[in-house]
Amino acid sequence: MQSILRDLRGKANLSQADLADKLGVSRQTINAIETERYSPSLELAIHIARFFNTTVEEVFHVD
Amino acid sequence: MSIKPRSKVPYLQISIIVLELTVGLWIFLSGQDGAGELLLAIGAITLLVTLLSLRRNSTTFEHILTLTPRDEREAKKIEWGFALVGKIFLVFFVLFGFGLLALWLVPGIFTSTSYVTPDGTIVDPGPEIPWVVPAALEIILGMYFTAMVTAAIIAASKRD
Repeated sequence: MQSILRDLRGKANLSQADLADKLGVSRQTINAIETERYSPSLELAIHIARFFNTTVEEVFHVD
Repeated sequence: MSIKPRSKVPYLQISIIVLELTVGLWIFLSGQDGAGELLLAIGAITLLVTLLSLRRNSTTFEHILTLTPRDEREAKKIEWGFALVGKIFLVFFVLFGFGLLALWLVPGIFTSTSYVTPDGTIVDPGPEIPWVVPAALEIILGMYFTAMVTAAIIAASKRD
């Protein structure tokens, strides 16, 4: 699943480890989502969207 | 799945490892063959990996091997690894059970070493378990530990 998570994280000036800490997941999971190797659960997707004050559809999309 | 805070110290797991080390040390000091050394070695390695998994920059492999997932992704990998081990061992143990059953049914495999006492009494201590049975069980035990570690390696390296 594609996402704009890397862009959002960059704009927020956060490292993968920082974002992982704030979301309660591992840094490797953030990296896996950004590199499209892992599709997060709906719950994690909602947490990510809420963290960046946006919607799940804005963050994640499929071709 | 709820998202839990990361890097909690697994007190229960560490307690179990310490208990296992204590039992291993007790067996080792009591001088019984190699079981004590084996338990001490397994406990020491497990404790080392568990402590490594508490580092801030710990790896996914460490968390899978110590069964302490930090998030849903690692939990899925552990579930996948256990499912793999379960399937392999279900087949393996069924075949092993049939093998033991076949051995049991072979006539004469359970030999008996009866002997005659000086006063002429015949003593039959009963059938003896052939060496192949405990040997096979030891091989099974070794394969079990190997399979657990192998499953952790495979699960950690599995694509998401």
